[in-house]
Amino acid sequence: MKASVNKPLLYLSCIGLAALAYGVVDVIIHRAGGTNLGSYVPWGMGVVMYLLFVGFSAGGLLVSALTELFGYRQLKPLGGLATYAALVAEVCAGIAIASDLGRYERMFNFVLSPSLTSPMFWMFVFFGGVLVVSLLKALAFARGDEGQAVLWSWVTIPVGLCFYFTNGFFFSVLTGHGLWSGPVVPLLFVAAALVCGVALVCSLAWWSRTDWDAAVLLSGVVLRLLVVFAILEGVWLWINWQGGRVETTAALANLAAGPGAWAFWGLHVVAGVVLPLILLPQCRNNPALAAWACLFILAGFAGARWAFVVPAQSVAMLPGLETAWQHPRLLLTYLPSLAEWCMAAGVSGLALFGFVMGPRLFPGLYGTTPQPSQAR
Amino acid sequence: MSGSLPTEDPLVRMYRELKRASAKDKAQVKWAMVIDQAKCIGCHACAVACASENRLGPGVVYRPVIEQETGTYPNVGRRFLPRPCMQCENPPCVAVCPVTATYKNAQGVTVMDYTRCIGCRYCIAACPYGARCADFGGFYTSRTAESPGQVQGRYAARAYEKQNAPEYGRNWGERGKGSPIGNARKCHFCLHRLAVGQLPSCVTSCVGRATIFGDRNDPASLVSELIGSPRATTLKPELGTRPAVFYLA
Repeated sequence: MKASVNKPLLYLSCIGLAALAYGVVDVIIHRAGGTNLGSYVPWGMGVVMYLLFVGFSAGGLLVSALTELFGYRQLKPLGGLATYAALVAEVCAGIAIASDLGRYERMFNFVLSPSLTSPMFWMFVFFGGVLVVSLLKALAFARGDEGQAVLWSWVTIPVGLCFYFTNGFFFSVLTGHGLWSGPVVPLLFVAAALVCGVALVCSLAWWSRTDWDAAVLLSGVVLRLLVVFAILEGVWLWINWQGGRVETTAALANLAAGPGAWAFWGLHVVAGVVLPLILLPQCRNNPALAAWACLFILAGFAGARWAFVVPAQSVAMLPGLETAWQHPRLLLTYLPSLAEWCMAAGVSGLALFGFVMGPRLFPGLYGTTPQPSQAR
Repeated sequence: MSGSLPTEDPLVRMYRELKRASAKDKAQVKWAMVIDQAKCIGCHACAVACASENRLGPGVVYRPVIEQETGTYPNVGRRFLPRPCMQCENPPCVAVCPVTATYKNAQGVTVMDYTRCIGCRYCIAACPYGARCADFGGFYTSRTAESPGQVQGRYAARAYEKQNAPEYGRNWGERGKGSPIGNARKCHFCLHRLAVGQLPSCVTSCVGRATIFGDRNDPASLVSELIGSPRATTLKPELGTRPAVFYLA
């Protein structure tokens, strides 16, 4: 029997796909010219969406690590689902970041003229690595080849850890931006990715009725990881504040009280951290509550990523630089353009489409023991 | 005549030294710039000359002149800080480029390979001086009204944008969709002018002779003389980038 498809969500994802089509056409015509980015704020919505979806893809890594490394055999039924979620999220992250390049057609230069000193090059390598390993793992799960699935699960662990570490390393080397630089950032990225990834798997496991007991078990892991992440983020903010560099404290002030402060306080802190911290301990027998708490985390991380990427660029590299030459591309403020919003809605729609259609298109990945249809 | 008055325009001396440097082996030359803030009057002529020389599009600027206020009222002051690329000896932008599209040439100038750049803007984020710009492909004439028969009409004004950007001694063609649109761009000490025995356009356009340029490996050059001045300083020395642009505070 084929799994049923949630029609409202499917329609919503189709709207997202239409937005994606608009965004892609705009990128083809205008490249990065259709964005509201500039030379002082060179990264915006594209990078935010990339980081968000890269985080979502970490579920495959964590479920593999928990199952193979730490012996949580109860999570085995979620292996295929986690791998599928990682694949969908990686594809969405790839589209988001490729559309942000000024010359996307030259991406082959990553291979032809690589720079081994560049964190971005290594990010590209490990991105490809995670994608390939996830694909092979998904094939193994789909075929029911347990030996191959275990093998690729083991390979996922070091490759994935390197990838999520490299994402933080990418920012931590930028000493000109005090808020980004420092050794805590790579660790913060690994923790954030693990929280996001496992929260996505937990909510998908409940929604697709793959394995509710495993979902509840995962919610406990999410809670612990969220606590670790919150501590690391507190340390990161505290170090930057105590460091006292003028540019860094100005960026922090912008993060906390600037135009995008709602993303940090409202979306990230309240919805993404505090609310799940309250809900997650109460859902030992309630997978639905666990899934909703995880969905709050996912939404909250959109705010976390925005708060990480944009406010750090709101401070001029040299005082007075922003007024030395007047042009909209030389401002310290940033609000995404319609094309950027469409791209963001588009990749989200694509992910939603993948998750809505997943149980129907790839039943082998979603597990073989569907739960009763009524929500607990 | 007073011995303290200059007997020769620094520009004449710089041209003489440029000729001397051009005769040397390229690897023996290290270009450097000294900007005397006491002489800079903030006329922005260098910024405009640079934009014109390199056919910079809207929103692309290699050498903005930053106006700075110093002190607290009533003891206040005002000074200007022209900011070209610092041509760092240890450039953060080069290390982060994922496709080796930016590198140091033999004379110590950080250059761009427009045909290799993927437009990721990582170098822009990495530069602690904000000295790099992304070319998003704007046109000065995009909102210019057409006025047939008039000099200021769109088509007449477009003649400026039809001129080829001369950067790196290559013909980049009429500004359209090709490079350098979509790329990161930066000051390169007007390498195309140096190649034909001309000083950078910001140097020749400086009315106060506040910008001095030359070979810092030549101990007799004006630039070497000024780098040795106790007034000489660099921006953000704590970052260890070792700029080749010095300021006389």
